[in-house]
Amino acid sequence: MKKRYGATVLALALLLTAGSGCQAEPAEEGNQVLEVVTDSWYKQEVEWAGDFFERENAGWQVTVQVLPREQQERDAAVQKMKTEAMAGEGPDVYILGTAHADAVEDEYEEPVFSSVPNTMESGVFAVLDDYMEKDVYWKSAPCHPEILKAGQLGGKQYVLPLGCRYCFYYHPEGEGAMNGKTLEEWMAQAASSEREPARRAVQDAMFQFMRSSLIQPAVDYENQKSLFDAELWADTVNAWFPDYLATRFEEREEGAPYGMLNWAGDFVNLPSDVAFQAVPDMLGRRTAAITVYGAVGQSSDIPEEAYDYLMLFLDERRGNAQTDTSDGYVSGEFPVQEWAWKELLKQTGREDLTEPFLESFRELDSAYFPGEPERELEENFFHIINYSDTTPEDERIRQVEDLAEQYARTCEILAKE
Amino acid sequence: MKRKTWKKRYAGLLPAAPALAGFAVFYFVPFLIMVWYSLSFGMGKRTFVGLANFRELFENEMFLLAVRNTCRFLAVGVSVILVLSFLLAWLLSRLVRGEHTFKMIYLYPMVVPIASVVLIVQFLWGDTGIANRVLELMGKESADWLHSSRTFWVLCILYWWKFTGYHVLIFFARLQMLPKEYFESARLDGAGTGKILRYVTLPLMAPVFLFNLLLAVMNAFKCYREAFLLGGNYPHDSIYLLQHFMNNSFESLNYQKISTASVTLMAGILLLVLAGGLLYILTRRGKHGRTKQRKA
Repeated sequence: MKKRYGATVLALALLLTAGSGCQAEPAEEGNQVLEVVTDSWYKQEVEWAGDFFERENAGWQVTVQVLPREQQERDAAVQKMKTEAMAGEGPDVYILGTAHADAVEDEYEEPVFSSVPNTMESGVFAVLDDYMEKDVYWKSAPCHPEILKAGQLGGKQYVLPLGCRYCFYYHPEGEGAMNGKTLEEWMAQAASSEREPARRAVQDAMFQFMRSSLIQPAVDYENQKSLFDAELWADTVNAWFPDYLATRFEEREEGAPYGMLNWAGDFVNLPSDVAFQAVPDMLGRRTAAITVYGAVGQSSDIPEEAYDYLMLFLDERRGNAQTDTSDGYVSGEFPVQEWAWKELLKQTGREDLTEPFLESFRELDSAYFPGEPERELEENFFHIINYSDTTPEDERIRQVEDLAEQYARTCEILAKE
Repeated sequence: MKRKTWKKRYAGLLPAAPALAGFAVFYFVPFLIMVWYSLSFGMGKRTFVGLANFRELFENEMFLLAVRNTCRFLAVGVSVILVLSFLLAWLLSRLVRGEHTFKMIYLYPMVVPIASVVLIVQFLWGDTGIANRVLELMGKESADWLHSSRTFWVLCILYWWKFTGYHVLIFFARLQMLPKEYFESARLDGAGTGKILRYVTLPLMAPVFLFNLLLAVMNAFKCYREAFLLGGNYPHDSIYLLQHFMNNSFESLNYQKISTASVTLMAGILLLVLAGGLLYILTRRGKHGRTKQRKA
């Protein structure tokens, strides 16, 4: 009898352990607890911020739940978190990534919310306006206003973008600047240019764009409209393809005065005296794709503290030298604030590029949250690229058109749902 | 005496109590919570918003599209499956040999794993599938079966293919149980096969039709898996069903939207059942009236 009882207890314990997924560490008695949920990409920084928060606020404990990377475990943990959120037991703070378009397969983490704007509408996230109004940080408008706007719905701020990606073209100061308004016009200008590196750079931009923001803010959630022009997209991609196929294996000169930039590390090798231009998309917008965002849970009982914690990722005054989040950006991502860019360029030893670079940063006029549909589009696009050697041209053109149509349909549904 | 009657009347409650308690805890209480969600907004601390969620839902284009598509799918899918399976069952009942083989064949689609269905779909309706090969042979242009209005018919075919056999067996079982005397008597009166089918078989099969209708509707709602396989979360407009709407709302944690849609769906079904019940009562009353008149 005792044996059976013991086996039952053991089985129950195992079941509970297995069911708990990636649990946050238990809270110490007497401490107030702030719960944060995050993706494994941001684990370290979220924990650093947690340590800092605990140091600054005696009697508080930050528990971090890191969502697993392995798909099956992740699904279970996300499902559990969503159910808890629905029951009013969700985390106080969300620090999450969007669909990382350029993540390699085994590192890819499916976004927790496949459409962040639709999630904002659902009431999962708390409105931050009251806290932001009281916070002096926002008086100086340090965040890029257009990037910040992506986290709003109906004029209310639900989400704070913490990092993003965008594409910049650099060229020697005074020569090789692109004058076109749209990416298509840039491509035409580059094609007729005698400067080979410039031509290649624009060609690369197209490729890089597929990885970050070529898809543009494809949906206007406020007005329930799809902004994606399938025909234009397919035509532009098909016009770019032959040139890409012809030159894709040519080596790019390192340290060349022309090029495309979409990663912070690229700054290191850049020549001096270069100018930057934000690359426009097919509709002429200069768009940033938000890669990581933060929000306070609507069900949080401690929204003010949750907001304070969240601001550690943006506000330099709060972080100061004691935490790595004090530089105002999440590692691996582009900052969303000017001062954080300055910090980043200083860290990479390229303070000389600060001013020319910030000029182009200010050019950004929109931002969006890439979701699963965008990643799917990208994945299928790369599938077409990978098989382009063996696919007849007319078949490839049809595949691109089908892909565009399929994505347009997704945008239509996302806008109207 | 009264006490005895009461005891007799409610004696079944005790053995049914566990099942009733389970129903109350796992279905009825969650349903009430869902009704509350449909009338409120927020997570955790919910605020009462009256009928605002319903107003929003009825203005939502995708919800209306999902309702239209689901109704269309139910109307086409269910009516065809009932007629088709009855006819097949009737033919099966007239077979002298091979009855067992046919029964096996009918049940086969139900045991095919869903992953294999994807292969079958690609094999038949993919870009280089059989359907397009046939079109090419006929000198016509190949068609996009999986991302156009044709997808609706592909979904219907999958539904028919999967569930027809199931309904055939239910019809067939009832056909086997019909008293032979009625048919012999009708034949003696000179009725042909058509008349026997119309005036003897069909009236006797009416309760099974109703039973199959319920099952067919339930199975049709289960066809989301097939619809998902055909078009994922964001399929072609023609197969965007209520489950897509609910599933996508769940992904965004929009519980008020799911709850409002579920309550609306429930209300719709309840209305249909009430209308059916009323129709049944009226028909019975008319029948009784006619019998009384005849007797008088």
